[in-house]
Amino acid sequence: MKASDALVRKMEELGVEVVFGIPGGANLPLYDSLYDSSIRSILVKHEQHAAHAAEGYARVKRRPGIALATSGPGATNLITGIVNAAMDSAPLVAITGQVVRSFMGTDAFQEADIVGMVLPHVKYATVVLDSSRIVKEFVNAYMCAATGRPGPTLIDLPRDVQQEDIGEVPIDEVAADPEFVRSPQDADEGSIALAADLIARANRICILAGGGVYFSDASDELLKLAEMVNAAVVCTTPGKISVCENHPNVLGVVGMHGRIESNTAIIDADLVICVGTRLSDRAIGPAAEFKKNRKIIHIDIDPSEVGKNVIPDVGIVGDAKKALNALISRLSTMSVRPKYPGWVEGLKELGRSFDDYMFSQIDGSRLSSYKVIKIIRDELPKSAIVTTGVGQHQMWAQLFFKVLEPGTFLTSAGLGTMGFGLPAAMGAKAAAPDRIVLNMDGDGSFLMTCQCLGTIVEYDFPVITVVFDNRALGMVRQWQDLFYKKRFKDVDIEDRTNLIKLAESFGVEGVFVESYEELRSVLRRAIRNDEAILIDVPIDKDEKVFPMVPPGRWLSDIILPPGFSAHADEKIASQAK
Amino acid sequence: MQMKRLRLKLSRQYEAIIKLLLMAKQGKIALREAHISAADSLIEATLLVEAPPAKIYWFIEKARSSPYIRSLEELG
Repeated sequence: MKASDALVRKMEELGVEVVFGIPGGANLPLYDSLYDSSIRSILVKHEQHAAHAAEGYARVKRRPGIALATSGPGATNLITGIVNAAMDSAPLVAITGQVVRSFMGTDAFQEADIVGMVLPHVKYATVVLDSSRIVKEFVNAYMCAATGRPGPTLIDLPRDVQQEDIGEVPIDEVAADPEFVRSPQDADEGSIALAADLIARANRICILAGGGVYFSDASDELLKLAEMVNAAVVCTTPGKISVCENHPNVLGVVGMHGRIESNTAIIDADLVICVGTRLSDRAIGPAAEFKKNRKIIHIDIDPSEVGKNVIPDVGIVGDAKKALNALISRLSTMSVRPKYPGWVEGLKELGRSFDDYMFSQIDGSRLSSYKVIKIIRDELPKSAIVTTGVGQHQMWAQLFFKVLEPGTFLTSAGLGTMGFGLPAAMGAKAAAPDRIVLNMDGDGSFLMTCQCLGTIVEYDFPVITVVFDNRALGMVRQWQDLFYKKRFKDVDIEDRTNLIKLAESFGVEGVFVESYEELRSVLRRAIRNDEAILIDVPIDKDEKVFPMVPPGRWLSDIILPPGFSAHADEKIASQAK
Repeated sequence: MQMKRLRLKLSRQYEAIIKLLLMAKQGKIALREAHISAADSLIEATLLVEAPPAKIYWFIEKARSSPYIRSLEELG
């Protein structure tokens, strides 16, 4: 049997349904094996799309997505997507072709040391030099990506290794080596008891949910705990995928562009229970301030995360679902009563007043981003999956788009990869063809991966794209406005790119909308027909994302929209009391 | 700052050594000594590392969770 045939048979056995990639000289044997396979291969326009699409697929399915590339530039084009998956802990297996073994190390045509390049950012990467190990190495990489804390892996396959005859292989008997399948340890009972005691003594409890809650399928447990102790629930940007934001205890995203009530909840809390999050600066600000005046419980599957950025009062290493269940079970034997029962409702009221204020500022002279987002939410079914690019539109989305089902908000949080949204949406649609998938994008972000529209048409992945079009790199422009004395440099996009014609050139209908009614009408049609469409929404380049916490500052240094400060200060003061 | 001597067994591949050193680099762990030798099927590494205790803990846990690292022993 040819080695690549064996590999593809093992992929089928593991349930791989789809792969995203581009063939080239060094991975032709693998593509030849896919020819006779049940696995659907999606030919993308650039390997970065393959990696993001595989991540979108992985996030929806909670199982590894597969990205393929040839050697050299094919492989290096994957890197951004691989690092993106690492930063957001998404399971991804990249399979790259490599020049034949005899040419390796000679600077051969399209030779690049992809393993050396990705090694800092992957859980595992290796060059398979022995063809008899090709199936084993794939299983190892696949299971390594999927188990423990999810993340990317890569196997690099020289072309001659792929096409070598490896004889008859008992493929179904090839299993991952134990070091690649690390089951999470059970939460330590002593730590659970200590955490329960802290909870029992706390007055105002805030739960900070990260993306790990979703991958652990622990959303219900997290909300159960929140209800039990009347905790405010806030989330990180990747954690927005984990919770339903219409739950009475859930406030929304915290951090640099967090919602005012979420940041206030952290500021006011005397105990923060952090679950499945690496506590990045973007979410919590300076670690020393976060730790001041409050106790911290940190639950994470990755022991190296506990204490990395913030040293907690109690660290619990383990799977979030199991740890939360253990905590709930322990608390149910204790008398735990919330001491400030109106606290969460007060925070909710603060959030409502913020929304009311923001919407009262809309004068009708131009389209407002947050109202556009509200309309999108109103029109989408709750099961619809939303992806975003990176920039202002992403922050408006995290502030104003309410997630109503876990697993329905995919964004590039840790790496902040512009161009993530469209290919990730394609991957999501491949994973969930029966659900509506909508990509919210900025014009700068969209133009980085817009060729993906061609793939969407070719393979019938009807994705709706809404472009918040301010003809600027809006977030960078906002920083130059606020922190660089309005010295705008290379942020205004003065070209004449016509997004409608661009979309149409790929075979996607493009619509320029000039009113909320028009937007609503076009959205309704696209959703009803489940059709690919690009909706170009002109917005004002001076519109800013608020709230904003300046980089390196504590959450209380929040910059609020002009005119809201006095109102907000009053609210914060009353909450603190 | 804390000094710690660690003995590790790694899978016998370049990537294992490189990944170990990359983890030390990421954690800003100072490498005071490093002895690396190849045995039959594994690589043995003995490291003397220096860093704040929390960073040492991070490095040890990071290494322990890596598939490249077969065992890690703290020698004191």
